Amino acid sequence: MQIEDLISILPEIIITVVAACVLMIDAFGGRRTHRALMLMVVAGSIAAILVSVLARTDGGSAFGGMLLTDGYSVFFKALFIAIAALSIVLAFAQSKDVPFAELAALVLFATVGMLLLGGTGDLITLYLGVELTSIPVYVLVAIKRDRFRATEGALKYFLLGAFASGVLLYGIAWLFGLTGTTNLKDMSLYVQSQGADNPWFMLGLGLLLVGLAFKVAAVPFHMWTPDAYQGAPTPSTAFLAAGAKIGAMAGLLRVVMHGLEPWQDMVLPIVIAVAVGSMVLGNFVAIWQQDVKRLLAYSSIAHTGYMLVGIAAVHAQAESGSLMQDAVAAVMFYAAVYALMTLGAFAVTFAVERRTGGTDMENFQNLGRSSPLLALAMLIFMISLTGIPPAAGFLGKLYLLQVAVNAGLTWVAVVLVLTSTVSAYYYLRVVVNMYMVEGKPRALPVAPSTAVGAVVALGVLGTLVLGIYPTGVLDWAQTAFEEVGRLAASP
Amino acid sequence: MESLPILSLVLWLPLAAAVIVILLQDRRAMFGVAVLGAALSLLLSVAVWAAFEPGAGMQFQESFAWLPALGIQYALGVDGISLLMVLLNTFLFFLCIIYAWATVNDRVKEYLVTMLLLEVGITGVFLALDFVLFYVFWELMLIPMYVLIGVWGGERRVYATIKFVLYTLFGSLLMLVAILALYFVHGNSTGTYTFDILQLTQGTYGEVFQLWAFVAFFLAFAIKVPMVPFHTWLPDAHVEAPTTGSVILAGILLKMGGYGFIRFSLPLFPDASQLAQTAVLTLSVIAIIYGALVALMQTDLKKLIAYSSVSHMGFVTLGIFSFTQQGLDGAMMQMFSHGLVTGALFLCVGQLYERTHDRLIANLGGLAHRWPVFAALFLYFSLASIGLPGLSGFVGEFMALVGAFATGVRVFGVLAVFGIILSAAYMLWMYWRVMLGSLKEAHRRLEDLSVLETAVLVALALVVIWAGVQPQAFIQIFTADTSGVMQAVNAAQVAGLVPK
Repeated sequence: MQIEDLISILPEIIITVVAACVLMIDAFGGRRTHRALMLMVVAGSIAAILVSVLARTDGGSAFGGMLLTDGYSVFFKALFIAIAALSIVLAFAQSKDVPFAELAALVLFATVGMLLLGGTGDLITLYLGVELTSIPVYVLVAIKRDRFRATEGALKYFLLGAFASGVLLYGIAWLFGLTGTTNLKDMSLYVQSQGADNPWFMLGLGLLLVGLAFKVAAVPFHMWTPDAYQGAPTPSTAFLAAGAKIGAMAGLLRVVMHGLEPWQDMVLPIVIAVAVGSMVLGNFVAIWQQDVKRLLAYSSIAHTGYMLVGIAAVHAQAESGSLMQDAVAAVMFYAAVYALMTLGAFAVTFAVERRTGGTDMENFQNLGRSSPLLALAMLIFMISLTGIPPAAGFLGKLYLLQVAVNAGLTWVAVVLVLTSTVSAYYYLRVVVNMYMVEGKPRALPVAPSTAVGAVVALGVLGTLVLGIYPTGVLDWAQTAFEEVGRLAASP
Repeated sequence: MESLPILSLVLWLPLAAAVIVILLQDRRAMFGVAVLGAALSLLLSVAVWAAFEPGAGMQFQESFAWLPALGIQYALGVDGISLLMVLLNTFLFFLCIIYAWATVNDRVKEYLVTMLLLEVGITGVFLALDFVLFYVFWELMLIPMYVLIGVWGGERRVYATIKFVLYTLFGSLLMLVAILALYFVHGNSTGTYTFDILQLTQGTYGEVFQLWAFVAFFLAFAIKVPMVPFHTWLPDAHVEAPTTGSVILAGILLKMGGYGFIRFSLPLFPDASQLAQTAVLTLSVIAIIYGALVALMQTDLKKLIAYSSVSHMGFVTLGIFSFTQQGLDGAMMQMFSHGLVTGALFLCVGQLYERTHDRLIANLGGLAHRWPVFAALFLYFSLASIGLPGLSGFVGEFMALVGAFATGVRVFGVLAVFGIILSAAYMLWMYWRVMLGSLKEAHRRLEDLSVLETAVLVALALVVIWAGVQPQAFIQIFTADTSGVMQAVNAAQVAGLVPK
């Protein structure tokens, strides 16, 4: 191990240290320290984001190719740390009901796992990242351990998740056995020289993809999602949907980009099938949900599908460097947009839950009158999730559609837009409840706490900025992939 | 004049007004600012008209790179076709907001912000010269309209508004895929990847691609117009919408479909248009006759006018797909006239409803005795809707019919004429039942129109007679541009209805 290697994982180290400090201070200081802890997490996160941006080494790698430290990693590092910090700020509003310090520490540990996933250059790192993310998240779901739903959701998630991790590991073992390496690029090179027609590859790849599909909650491995999302306390759900899912997505995209090029004929139909299944099932089942958290859970499955369309485009363009890079940038941009709007939607749901005691559709009734600003924020998030301008969700989808059409996946793009139409129905049902139903006079104004209000405001700001003038972020995503491309091109 | 971004001002002034409205509390002040914003927008669009040179192509162009990473520009411009629509739009919005001053009392701030945002969206559709920008505005107008119907609408407003959104979104999202496909097909064949509408319109595309893209665009526009059988959202939306919502819906939103056909479908996909001509003309004639027959059967005033819209908009598509100069000009005039006349009719019905709280024809009667001013104006607009010579409705329908006959296949023209006869039947019968006869006891003490309400209707009436007596004043705005469209579509490789 060299000193450069350590510098390249400085953000991970900072986050780990902050998490450890949170646990220690809470153990000795107790509840009084929670505000200070929250501020410390925010400060630590900002420091970690700055370090990761400044310490960006162009197209480099660390630990002998196990970790890649290119622009792609940096983009996702900044995103993941920001999501983690916002989720913790959100949870702070609930610090009387849940063990706040444990929750914060768990979120931070999971974040370290996500950071690894973004930098995956090797199947071992991939597995390490997946596990490091999953295990704290199992606990996060069950953190209100006296609630039946929380235990149920966590148990389902844990049992299926542990099984999926096993499958993933088994797939990695097969691929190692067949190619003699776990490094993604070496694997790809080996197969290019030896030919990809060995049928056992199919088995290894299939197992690998099944494991990852579970982690990103893609159909048909999505069964755990609604229960886990509903059972977890809302800030944990926000982190689960906006953070853990995107973390696994970043890892999956790495694998597709660097490792799977030679297997295009085998993998592409699978990715497309999973994407189409996720979009159709997620959007149609969401129609029948009465609980907004469950609704967002199914919608998150649909959004996984949208991102998988982008990943399919990445895969389809694997031969052409620059077109593939464009597709990667589209997925990156959508991931950022999705994370922001999902976090925002959960933050509003959380505020409503704290005031009215539930997350049912009915709890949103009359929100337009009782707290107009919160309702307006929710309206913006719902528009964005539907993909209607000027919110960011539109540009995100536009970019995904653009790369999909360019990759010749026009029919998949058509499925994407048709299912988006379906999604308008249930997202707008939330709006209907807020503005158009003269329900029982729940006149209690829903006044969010400062912490929740700040998260909602940041979400709205981000959604609008990314929707109207996202040039900075787009450039970032596109230059990030340039270096990825350079890496992919160099042997 | 050259340096001033006048189109941007026309476009964004309502938004600026909306932002100020958010900060205000007093009802008078809010309406004052909103009316001012709409009035400035109207005045500037009239100024554009004054400085406009007919036949000089796109004018007052503005552009800068909005999202260079995705190849998207912010580009605006007007030619005659869009100018007429912008004028209609700013004029109707100005009148609607004034009218709302007299009538809207519930959630005034939200109402005004919604209306002003709606105006931005619709104006943008007509001004945009970049496909993505066009699409952004096309969808931007969706949410305000949704809110307008859903919050201020009638009893079944939630059903109606969601139906409206789903129909529209379905059509427009398919169009988005077609836009992207166009971007790549054009880029792959010429090497310049662009969303620039003018450049894309110059290109030529293969027949198979044209057909697919034509279908996607057609769905979007046909739902907007709406053509039979995509019209079922319209009666629901109209019946449940508040008065000003109906005015905007009938007055301008439907025109976005006709505008789309003329601006995009014909020049971009001439071969496909020629192939689809017979089918579209058939659908148009069905819309004209069917819309009129259904209107005849209606018991609800708003539904009656909604179906009459289906019938009248049939003349628009009839004119457009005749691919003749008279037909296209007639379609433009018909859109302009229908915007004014149907807008006015919905205002009349709204005034009627506010006084009697009833829209069922059977429950009304004899109202002319109580309200002479209203009766006169309502009759005037009913006659304009029938197409009385001298009023605007006649010009458009007549020219569209001439165009239909000029295709050489007379059956479409012959059948469409029956639509005019039927329109006389349902409008006059409706007027007779509502305004003449004996007055109902419950309606004895109702007031006639206020000064403000009268002023709004008179303003519309003046433009209606202006366009009827001197249509040339309006036709000369756009005729050079429609002629360009006609040449483009007739340059197709494939022969349509008329063999070459």
